[in-house]
Amino acid sequence: MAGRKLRIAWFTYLARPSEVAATVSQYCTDILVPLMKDEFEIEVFSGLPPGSHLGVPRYNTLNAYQRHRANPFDIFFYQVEDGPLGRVVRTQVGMMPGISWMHDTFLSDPGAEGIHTSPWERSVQQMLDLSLPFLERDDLPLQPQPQGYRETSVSPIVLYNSEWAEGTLHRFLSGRYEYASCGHRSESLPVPVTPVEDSRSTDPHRPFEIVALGSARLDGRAHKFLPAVADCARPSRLTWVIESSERADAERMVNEFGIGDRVTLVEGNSPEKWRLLVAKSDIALHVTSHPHTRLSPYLELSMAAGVPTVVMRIGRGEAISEDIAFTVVPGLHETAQLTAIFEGIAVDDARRFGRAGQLAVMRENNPAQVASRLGGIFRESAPILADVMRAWNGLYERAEEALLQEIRALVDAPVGAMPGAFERIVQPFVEEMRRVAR
Amino acid sequence: MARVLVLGAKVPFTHGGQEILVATLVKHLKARGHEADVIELPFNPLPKQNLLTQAAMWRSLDLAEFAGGKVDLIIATKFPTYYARHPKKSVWLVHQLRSLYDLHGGQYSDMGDDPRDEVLRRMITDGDTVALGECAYRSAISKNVADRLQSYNGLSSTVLYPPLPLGDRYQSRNAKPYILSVGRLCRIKRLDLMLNAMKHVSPEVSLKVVGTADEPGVMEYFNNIIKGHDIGRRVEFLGRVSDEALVDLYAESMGVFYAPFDEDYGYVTLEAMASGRAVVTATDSGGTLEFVKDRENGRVVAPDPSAIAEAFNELARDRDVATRMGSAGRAFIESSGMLSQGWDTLIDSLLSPLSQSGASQANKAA
Repeated sequence: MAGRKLRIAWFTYLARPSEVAATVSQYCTDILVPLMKDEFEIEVFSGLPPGSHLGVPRYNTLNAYQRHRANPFDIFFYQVEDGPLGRVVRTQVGMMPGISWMHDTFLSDPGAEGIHTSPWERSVQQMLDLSLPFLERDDLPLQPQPQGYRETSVSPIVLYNSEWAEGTLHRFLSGRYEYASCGHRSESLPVPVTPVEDSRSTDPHRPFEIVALGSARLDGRAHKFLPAVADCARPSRLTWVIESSERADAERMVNEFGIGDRVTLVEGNSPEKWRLLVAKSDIALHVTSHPHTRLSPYLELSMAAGVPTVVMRIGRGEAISEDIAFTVVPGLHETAQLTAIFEGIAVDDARRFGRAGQLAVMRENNPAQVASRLGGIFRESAPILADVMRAWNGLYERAEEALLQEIRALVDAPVGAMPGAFERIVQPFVEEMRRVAR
Repeated sequence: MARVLVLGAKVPFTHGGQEILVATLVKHLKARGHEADVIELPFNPLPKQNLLTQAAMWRSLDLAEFAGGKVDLIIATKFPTYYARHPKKSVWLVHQLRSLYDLHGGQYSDMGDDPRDEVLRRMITDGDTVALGECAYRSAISKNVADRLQSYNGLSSTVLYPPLPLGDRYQSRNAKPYILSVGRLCRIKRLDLMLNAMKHVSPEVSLKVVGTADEPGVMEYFNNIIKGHDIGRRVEFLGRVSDEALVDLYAESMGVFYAPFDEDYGYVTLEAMASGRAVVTATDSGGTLEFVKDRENGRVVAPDPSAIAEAFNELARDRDVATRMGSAGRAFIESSGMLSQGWDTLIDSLLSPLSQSGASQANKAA
């Protein structure tokens, strides 16, 4: 492989030009691809039509196999994330073995209908033992819960965006799915974060600016942080970022606590929007108690802005050092803890409290460093994945035989079926298609 | 005059845009003195393994000669009709098998990561590229369909919008307080958005639904929504209606709902415009967005029941706005040639391989 660049099939969600780039995968793609495109031959695959993205060729995900057939890739790199927008990549994860970067540890979205009964476990077993038969169509298993097992297991190499996520899921998976030649490897790779400029007002009499990212549902903890804002003795203002569909519930809650004049609701989030909001804030709340709700890259962006952050001591929040973020314990004293934090930070020294987090993020999430680590992972993985790909190709040759057997059975099934119909109609067609494919 | 076969794939017991398109094309070919007929084979997308067999069946047909006369040209319309072989093959593409293309990886496709599914998908997409690539003339019914063909198969095509099936018969009359929905009843047409919107729509406004179910369980699903919102008295399912009744329903509606997911083209949009009615569609409705411009001739809103309800409530509140949008739609249709005058150009294009020598191609692979 020496002397040529590794070819990377880079799978990501990309928004249309008219849409907001709200996904983590696009956020990471847009930072990392420009840093890596000289060292690697990258082709980006998304739901968009062919074109180019940040100076590299862009194709639709469904063209990946054609592109691979024409000029093989060394690495299939998938960015997996929760929600309907992530579906375009999640389905592909099971098509070609590669490296999956899990931006969410567990997934709440069930994914595309086609993977609700995915035989991925059998596919992995068949690569180890090609004599294993394909499952009958009626026996395909429903996806195990919680969602995310398939995506973390079907790829021989998995990356997580925090050590907590890696440890949590690895405990469930260790030893369950072993690829013949490489086992099941995992590493943590943090999301890249670029510096966030401070754009707070310099008015010394301005109110304390709080920004909160969270749902109006119970796990978003608004029933705890809204009364904390109401109880706060100092003049303060809250910007609360919610989903568009939650506006009515959010307005009702804000009015219940009598702070309608101090709260601004912002609908729909994206890394770019959060970057702008947090840059003019004095404190950022990431107080979700839901295991599915992502912290990255929003928590890191808040820290990059030098803003003091507050996380919930639950899930990934338990693994975040109190040296770099305030942590609150869910429950009886949650509101009082938040009020105490709001009142304990003076407007003019808020950034001092965020300094440690900022330094940590600039060290761990530095884009050049993340790109370098990912590049190293690509180089180390290429020979391993070449072995896996050979086994995978064997599986697909068997899949074609199995498909034709199914078709033969269907063609021969009808009462009074024409003898030899499969050989006379289907077989010549398949042979023509094979010639075409070659 | 030429002997022409128009190829259709018929899902028995259903009726949709493709059937209308095939029948209208044959009618207009005959009106211009050509000898035209339809070849239809039944199409069943289930089980999915049978898709390859159905493509193979079309490939195996000998369409060169019938009744002692040579067939001069065939016109294919949708998967798998374009697998038919003929030296002079045109395609007026309604759509490919969308579950293998733009719907793959979403909620409207049953193709997953089973290696057998993926082998099937690769064989058919490769086959599509060959079968469509060998056409002497390639066209698509909308820009949306043409773009998909270019994106997934690398094939260029000319956009030929189908003129409206009822020509000059569409009318506009005083609006009555009902919303009209027209189309096959299946998940991808998203009538559920409108049914869920009805709980937010002014109570004096009702919903009339034209079309028949063509998916198992879909009526049960709709009825559950209706029951859940207690809107049974405001929703009327009319089934398939006559052309005359359809003209009347459009003419007297207060507005038309048509918000499928990434529609190919959508006659309904244009029929509504021809009837001087504002169309409410969604930002992800695909082909309808080639015609509906927000607040000019209709509303383009989020695929969300409350946004749809608000759009209709505005039409109900402000009839001047509704009338202005409807008039703009009608003016667009009159200037577009879609009432009936567009057929001459369209048929000349589809028959263009007859005037070409040898293997000359009207379109080349991109």
